[in-house]
Amino acid sequence: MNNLKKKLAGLYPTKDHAGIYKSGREGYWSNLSKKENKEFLAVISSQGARQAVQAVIPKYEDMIFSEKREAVLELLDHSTPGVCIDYGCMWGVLSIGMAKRGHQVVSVDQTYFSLNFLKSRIEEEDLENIHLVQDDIKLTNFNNIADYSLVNGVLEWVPVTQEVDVNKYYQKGGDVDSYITPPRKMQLDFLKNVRDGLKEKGKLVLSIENRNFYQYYMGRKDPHENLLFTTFLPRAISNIISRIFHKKEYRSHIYSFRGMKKLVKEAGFSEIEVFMAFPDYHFPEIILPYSKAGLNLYDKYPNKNRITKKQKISYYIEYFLTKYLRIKALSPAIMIVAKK
Amino acid sequence: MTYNCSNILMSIAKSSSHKEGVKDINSEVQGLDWYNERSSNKLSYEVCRVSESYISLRIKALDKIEIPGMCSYSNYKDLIFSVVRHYCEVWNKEVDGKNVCALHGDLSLVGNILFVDLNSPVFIDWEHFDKNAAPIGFDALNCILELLYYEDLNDINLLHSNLRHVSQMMSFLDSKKCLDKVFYNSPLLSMTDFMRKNSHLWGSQIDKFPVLKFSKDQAMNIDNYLNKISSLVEGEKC
Repeated sequence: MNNLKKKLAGLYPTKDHAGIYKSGREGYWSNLSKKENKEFLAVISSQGARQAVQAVIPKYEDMIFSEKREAVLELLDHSTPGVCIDYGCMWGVLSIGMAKRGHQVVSVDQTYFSLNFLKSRIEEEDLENIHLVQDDIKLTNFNNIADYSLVNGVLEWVPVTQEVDVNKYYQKGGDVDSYITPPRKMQLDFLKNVRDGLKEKGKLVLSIENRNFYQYYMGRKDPHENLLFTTFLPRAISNIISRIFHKKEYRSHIYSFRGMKKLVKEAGFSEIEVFMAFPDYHFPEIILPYSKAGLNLYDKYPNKNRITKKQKISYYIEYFLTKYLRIKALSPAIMIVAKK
Repeated sequence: MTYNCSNILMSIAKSSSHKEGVKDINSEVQGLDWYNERSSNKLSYEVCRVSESYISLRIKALDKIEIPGMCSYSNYKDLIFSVVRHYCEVWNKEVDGKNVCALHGDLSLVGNILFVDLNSPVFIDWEHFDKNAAPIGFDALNCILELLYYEDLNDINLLHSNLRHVSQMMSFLDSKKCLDKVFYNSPLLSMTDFMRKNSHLWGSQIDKFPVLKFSKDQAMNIDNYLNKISSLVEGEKC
């Protein structure tokens, strides 16, 4: 632990009053606006994290506290404690999960509000093995320090460098950045950087939506751009759609199972295990190997968010596609475990 | 669940990093130990506790047989007897004048009992285990009576045929000293009453139990009919 602290202190000489290592590189990515975040943090200081979430942002309670979110961590072996870097940790649900599993966790995020919230959770959970770092995840300079790296719902946002208040980002207009580097190149560079942060045989755990999720073909909007069909159409056409309807470039690229595996391989990872997650990677009810054997294990599963008729029909379609037609490429989400 | 490359179930793993979940898995481990000490059918498992706030339990899968998926009393009569016999084998070792004995808490043919063969049931899912919590016979009755819930209770002939079987099972339990006298006169109501008074044993899951879904009238009718049959049986014996 002291060794890790020394390394972090070497990389980030500045540590603020809240104990957060600072790189000087700040940014903003949040489901809340800055104003909402300020109000939220004020309530946290008086009521504690859980109550503050229930009072101010109840719709995110499961997103922040649900144990189900940690399911992806069970793809790792926790019998030996190690060092884990959680890239783009946000509210820290996976950082907390890894810390409880006995690992030293370095939680990196550019959004100070999120780190502050995580700080309160760490205090409430009485954990001493999480180290908070405010940095741009693309520019971190960890070198051979981690046994595990988590990239959970983060890769797709890497090419978007502007400040993101998710609700605003979904709308027409917004800030237009002039980008030079193509999204895929940025994502590849990021994954290479993640690889550099791992020790030999260290493991990457990555979760992301599947570009070819069957619901996108049925009219479900792109979860990152709030546009129809942009996930699976050729990138150039998606870009035109985005420019017409949202006046900005289409950047938040997600991938097919094959495309994702290829990208991870290109970043230098080996022994890549691919999994499909149902009904999504946030709250997975089933995680199965992306293989014929995995398909054999697909079965009915509960989902408390399956309420409307449309959602139920959609689930029956998924069941038919996966159980009977045995199509795995249209599954909702991708999880990957790969070795350096 | 972990499968090998031939798609065969190798183990079932449970883990938790939440207080409640860790408590449940710890109870399950205690339950497994308790069961393994007493049962001829053992479950082998591994526990990983890397910190106080995380536990994972991996139970080695058994070569089990598939039982019919139609969960109703009439489909399961043979299996029920097999379960009751195994219950007596395991719990009988508890009987030494105690008022309360060990509680499985969710002994059910719907998912929590595996069969190595039709005469060898194995009890799994011990997360509600408590070493000294329930009157003897509670779990066996829960397993028996919950299946009535899945039947058409309006089909009187079917109901009566099933209740005659319930009565036989209760007699068997009693003969093996595995039925507390609290259950003699009104088994279903006594059970549900016990559950409601001790709801802490099940926590937030208490509402899922089928036996608690019988209406009061249904429960009284079932108990009355069971009483009637048992007095007839007693009469026949005399």
